[in-house]
Amino acid sequence: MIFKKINLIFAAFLAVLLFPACDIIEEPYMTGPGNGNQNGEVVRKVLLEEFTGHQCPNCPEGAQEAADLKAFFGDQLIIMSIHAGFFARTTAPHFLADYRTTAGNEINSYFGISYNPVGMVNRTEFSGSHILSPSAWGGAISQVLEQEPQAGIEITLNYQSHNRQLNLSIKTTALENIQGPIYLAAFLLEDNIMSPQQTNNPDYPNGIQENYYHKHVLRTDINGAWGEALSETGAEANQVFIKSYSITLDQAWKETFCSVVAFVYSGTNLEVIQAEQKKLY
Amino acid sequence: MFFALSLFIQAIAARGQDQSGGLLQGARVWGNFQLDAQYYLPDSLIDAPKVDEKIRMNAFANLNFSWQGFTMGMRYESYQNALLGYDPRYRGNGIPYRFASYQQENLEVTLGNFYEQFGNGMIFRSYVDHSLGVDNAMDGIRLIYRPFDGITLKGLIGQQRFFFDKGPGIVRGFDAEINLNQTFSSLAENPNQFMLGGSVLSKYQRDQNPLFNLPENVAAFAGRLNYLRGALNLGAEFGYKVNDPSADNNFIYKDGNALTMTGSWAAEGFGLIIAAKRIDNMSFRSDRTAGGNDLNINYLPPTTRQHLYSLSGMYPYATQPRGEIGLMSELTLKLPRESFFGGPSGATLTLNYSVANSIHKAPLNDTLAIGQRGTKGYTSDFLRIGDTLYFQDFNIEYSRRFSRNLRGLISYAYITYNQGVIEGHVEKGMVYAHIAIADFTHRLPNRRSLRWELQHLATKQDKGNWAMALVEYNIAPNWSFSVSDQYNYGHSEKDLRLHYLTFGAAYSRNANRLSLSYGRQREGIICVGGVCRQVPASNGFMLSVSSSF
Repeated sequence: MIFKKINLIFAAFLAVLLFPACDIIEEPYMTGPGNGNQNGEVVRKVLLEEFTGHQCPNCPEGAQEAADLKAFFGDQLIIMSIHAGFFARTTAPHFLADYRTTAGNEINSYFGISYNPVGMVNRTEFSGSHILSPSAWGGAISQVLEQEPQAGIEITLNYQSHNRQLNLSIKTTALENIQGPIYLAAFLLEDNIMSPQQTNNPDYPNGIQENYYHKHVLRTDINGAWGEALSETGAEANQVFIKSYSITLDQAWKETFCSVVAFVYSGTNLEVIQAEQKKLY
Repeated sequence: MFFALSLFIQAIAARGQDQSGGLLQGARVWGNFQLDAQYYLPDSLIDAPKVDEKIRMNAFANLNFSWQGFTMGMRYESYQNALLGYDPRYRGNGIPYRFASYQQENLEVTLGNFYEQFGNGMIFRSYVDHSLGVDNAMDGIRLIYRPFDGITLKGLIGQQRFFFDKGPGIVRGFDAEINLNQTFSSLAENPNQFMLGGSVLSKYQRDQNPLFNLPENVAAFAGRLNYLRGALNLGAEFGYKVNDPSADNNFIYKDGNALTMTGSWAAEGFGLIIAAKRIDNMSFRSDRTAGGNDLNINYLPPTTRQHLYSLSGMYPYATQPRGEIGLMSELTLKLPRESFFGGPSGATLTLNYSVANSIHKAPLNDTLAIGQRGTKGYTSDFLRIGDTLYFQDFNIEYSRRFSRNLRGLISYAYITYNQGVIEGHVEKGMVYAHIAIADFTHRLPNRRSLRWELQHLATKQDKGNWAMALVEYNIAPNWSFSVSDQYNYGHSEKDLRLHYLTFGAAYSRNANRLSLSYGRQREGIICVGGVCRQVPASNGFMLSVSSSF
């Protein structure tokens, strides 16, 4: 009798599995870009740290994914490309430009990045890993953007072209109570740097695209690889923190393509709370 | 887990197998243990990565218990940190595999982790291979039901292992197999034996991608047939997968399919195997964003020979799930005794040929590139072969006993290897390699033996020519000592004409084995069954311990 019941349960189980769930998708397969928040209120922004290198032939595909996501999410997505590790090394004759930075190397090493292209979205774990392949970035970004902003960041820049000095001030406002230590990190990026890149694109049979544009390249940290503490105990709603810094731009960097990225993150789990970006021009 | 432990303790109290009078009479405990550790030395000449920890280790132990129809077990794994070449996401310790199952008459129920395969694995295979760092164990429920002789029904549902976590997708499947000769008594004595099978599998993964309208449920179907008559064995399996845009296929919406056909025939002194396959867009994972060897649901069997020697295995083929068409044939001949080639004891001659090519692909229209994401990708004529050769291997192997105390093997292989496609770097071209191998074993008095290998690989591409020599001295049944050197004497850069010298010793006793080696390991690729793992160059001491009980 018991066994007959088991048979019935089994038959029911199989019956469910005999009708496999399947979604057949019709065109259009791709969705249109979102509009973001245009009403001036503080919106949640998300940081994508893309780990890449000019000797990584798969990295242009990762960069294309990042560009597509940027087109979709607009200003709500901030991308910082970190050139570090094996694929970012310099080798004659093509790969002499050195985009590695002290901060980038430290971040790369800390998070154990061993292959490219990969990225971190807000330094948050998704499915048990901080490190995400390019095709996972979009879903992770969407998840983060579903959350309400916990803080607002305003960046004020004063760039003096005659001595290439950049003075900046970063104002962070807590929008709700934030528990635990919070840190502010700021970096300088340069966009549209042309130099060779290894590629798997069959249009380049020798595997090297000479006139490749490297986007949002991390050039230097402004207050260290891990920034500085805003508070070791957390923040109350509406509490404001203002930090000022000054750096001198390298002569090789084109200031018209430079921007500052700043983000506030939790000192407990390193997750980014809010991010902001502002161009010099 | 406490319940499991208590049962283990009780079983041990019953003092193991078939102990009469114990609390759990007839209980059995079995398992195994393996540890691989390496002490890394810096070696910039071979471009060995710097290892901050100096020492790394992979280890695992399986512990199983069975009593009457009840079985349970677990596997403890430890990565401190994972050896170079293994995914660093294997980190720390844990019990990623544990299960309990029972069998009552013709029903088997498994809860927890399990490995399973439908047919050849074309739409579903869950397995572990520690040498590759692959483990896509299911965690869920599996039922196996055998209502009549010759009929097996399997149903399962669960998630796949993802390092020390689980993948985001849910996998559901059903498989039915019937052996007609066992089921129908009228066919029991029939020399023609037939086996039919069919399976369906579906995965669910939430669509969180902002750029695409993605199918959250993706189904795949497969059917198979096996025919056996005496020494003749014919088999075929066809699989079909509905739209499954993923990182593997650049997010195209084309359906996938795969076909494999195998045939073998053996007669006295003669054996023939022929296998053919065609794969089109058949990568299938429980996470559409995954890459590498992560979260594969299916397994696409290779139709190339797996070479076991170090130089003939330097350019192994990896299955191309995006599309390939391949063929393999192998002829084995037993050469008779006292003939010219057979010698006093007879000899074996094996001829093997395999080839893998791209499949035909055409753009959907004049404005779309082949494989453009967010489209159906391309069209493909099923029987038309593509323009790109991926891999070709012709090899011949001759082995025989030359005298009472000397046996040996000589072989030659000519391998054509599309490095750009197989390793994924378009700038790398085709490698043409000739490999010759001699492997001889001399039997010495007092259960000693001396084995030596000479290998040579000649190519004008990649890193040029290699030579390899190995000497191994065995004292049966416990000891083995070896020294080997691989020399890349043909490298185009003089400074990189390097030796990879290795010394090793191993001790075996019953089911325990301990080995220690020191030397350089060259950068390379390890493949098992068409699934591959890259191994970086390294230098240092390697310790391996394995044991089973």
